[in-house]
Amino acid sequence: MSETMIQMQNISKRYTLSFEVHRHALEDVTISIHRGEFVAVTGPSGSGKSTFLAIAGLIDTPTSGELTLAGRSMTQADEDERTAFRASTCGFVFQFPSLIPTMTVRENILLPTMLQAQNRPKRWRKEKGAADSGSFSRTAGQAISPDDRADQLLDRVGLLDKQHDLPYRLSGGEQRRVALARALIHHPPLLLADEPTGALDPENAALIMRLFHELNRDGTTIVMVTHDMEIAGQTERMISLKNGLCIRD
Amino acid sequence: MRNTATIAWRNLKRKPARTVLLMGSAAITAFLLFASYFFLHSMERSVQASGERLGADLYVVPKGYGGQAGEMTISGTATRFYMSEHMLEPISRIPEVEHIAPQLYLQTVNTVCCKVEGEFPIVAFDPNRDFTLQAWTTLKKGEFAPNELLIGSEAGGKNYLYHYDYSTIQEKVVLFNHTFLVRNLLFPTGMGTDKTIFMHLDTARRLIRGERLVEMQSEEQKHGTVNAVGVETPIPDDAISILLIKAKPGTTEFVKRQIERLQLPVDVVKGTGLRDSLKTQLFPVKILSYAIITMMILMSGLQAATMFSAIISERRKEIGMLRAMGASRWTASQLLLTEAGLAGLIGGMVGVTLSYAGLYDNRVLIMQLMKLPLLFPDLLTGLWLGLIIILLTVMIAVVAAWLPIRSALRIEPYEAIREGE
Ligand SMILES: Nc1ncnc2c1ncn2[C@@H]1O[C@H](COP(=O)(O)OP(=O)(O)OP(=O)(O)O)[C@@H](O)[C@H]1O
Ligand SMILES: [Mg+2]
Repeated sequence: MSETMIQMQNISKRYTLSFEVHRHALEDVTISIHRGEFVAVTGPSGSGKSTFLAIAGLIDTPTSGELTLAGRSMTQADEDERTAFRASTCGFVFQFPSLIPTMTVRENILLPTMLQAQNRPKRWRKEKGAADSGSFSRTAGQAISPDDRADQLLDRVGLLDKQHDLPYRLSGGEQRRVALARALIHHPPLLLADEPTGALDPENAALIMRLFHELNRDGTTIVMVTHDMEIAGQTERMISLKNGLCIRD
Repeated sequence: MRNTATIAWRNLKRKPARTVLLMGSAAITAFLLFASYFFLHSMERSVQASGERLGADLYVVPKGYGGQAGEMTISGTATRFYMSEHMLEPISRIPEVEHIAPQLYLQTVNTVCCKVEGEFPIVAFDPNRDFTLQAWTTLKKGEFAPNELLIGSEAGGKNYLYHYDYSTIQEKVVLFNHTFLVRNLLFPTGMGTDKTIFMHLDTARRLIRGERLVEMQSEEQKHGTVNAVGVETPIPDDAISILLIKAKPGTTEFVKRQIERLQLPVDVVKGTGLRDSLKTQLFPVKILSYAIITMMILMSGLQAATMFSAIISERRKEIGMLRAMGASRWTASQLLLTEAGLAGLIGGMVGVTLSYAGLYDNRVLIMQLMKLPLLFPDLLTGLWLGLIIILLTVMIAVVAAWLPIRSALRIEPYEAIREGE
């Protein structure tokens, strides 16, 4: 368990509102999350939780600080490297609806595999480093085809019967579950989920938590933002943010 | 690649309103481009062809008539001077002579042509050798027949336009007590020649010899009292009035001297240079038309670009999302560019097809509206033009989409996603 998955060193994210007025979304956060951990991030609204996840998932850049992911320094990483990380290692569930409206549930879920296949020709030679993204060792079951994996996930989130619907026909909670399935299609070793149980009834929330625990048992590192203290209590570790500061770990 | 196209196509299909807008804008662009270029091309071809009509480099006329040659070709007056046809052969052997065409000026006849009554000079030409009327004799299928005529726009041509394409309505003209059919009208030049009626040289010869061309006479004409041949003064049997010569570029002066050296009983006169002056006069008009078309291209291009970029801007969130899911910048942009390109392609095809069909279908109507016998580009040229314009439409779409895509790609995915909220 000593290997770190996410290593943040004095990470700050600052927005410039006007000339000399700044807002800190994150301030001087130093945290390390080990491979295989299951972490809940809590805190009041506007405390920087989403910002924290975005930086950890390499979809946003910190204003300052050092970031190391899976043993590789990402502070100076170029776009190709960041793309490779996002594609191979990271599954992201957004706080807000994030399905592509013109694609069916199933197409949405399969989208990451298609996009990655599309990326490949270009970085075939260039990205030899990506080959050792094998160091982000994948969980068992990787051998199954994306289509089978999609079936499996649809079944797990209870949406097999709605797989050919367009997103607008789904309820908010159903959309959230589709987004989760999409984040898991490529067996990411790291799952970053922003309020995955937010719009769900207790029964469905419990279903998601069971799935998370199972994934975590298979070795997936999970960082999950939640307001629900009961849900946060089911994890191994809780990080609390307030006004961009890490106040409890 | 196949994947990308499939996804792009699906996206277009599932947002019909957006897609109709995109394709409609591309279609309008393509339509305008095609139609405007098409007209310009037609005008240019037509004007060039009328230039050719006045455009012999050299005229060869019987000795002593040199002074009248130029005036004659412009005014079209049937001046009665003749020389032997045998002048043609030695001159045509000069290698620098590109074309040589005889014409025979018969006389001015008072007749009715397409409901226009007047005094019309009758000129005979040899359709096999002619280069000045070519564009009009070949405009309709088939060879120029012995009983056919080409009429100037002032010799009833304007009226003829109204039933241009109805092969069942045949416009008849009575000349020398024989009945002729109008084959085509000539593009107006604004000069005396617009009143001229042209007939086949062979027919003219037979009429001169006093033959009664039974196949060209009605019962009345056969039994009529009018002299079978109305040709006033006898014209020598093998006579021609003038030889029109087109020399190879830059050799006009040289050819003139060559002909003079042949010691024939002829005068050689240099052309009026009308073709060139016509070109000079039309040049500003041409420039202006091209400028207007360029502006139109720019305008419709900008319009399409605005629409595309507005629609793509809505999708910054989608771009950010795709990247968050592991799409490289290239993959993400490719997906949306394919969509824009596809919309441009289909829209362009629709626009070009509509204008192509519309223009060719209403050719006669257009000519009537403009009161001009336009020489339209042939179908193949039209096809090429259409292809190029479709390509251009696709390019406009792709470039227009590229700008907002690039701006969404430059920021971090998370930023793009939240801006799109
Ligand atoms: N583009 C921006 N410009 C200015 N301030 C921003 C910007 N993005 C985020 N912030 C600020 O950063 C802070 C943290 O935002 P963040 O979205 O991380 O909060 P959060 O903890 O996820 O809140 P919630 O629980 O409501 O989702 C907020 O105060 C927000 O106003
Ligand atoms: Mg948030």
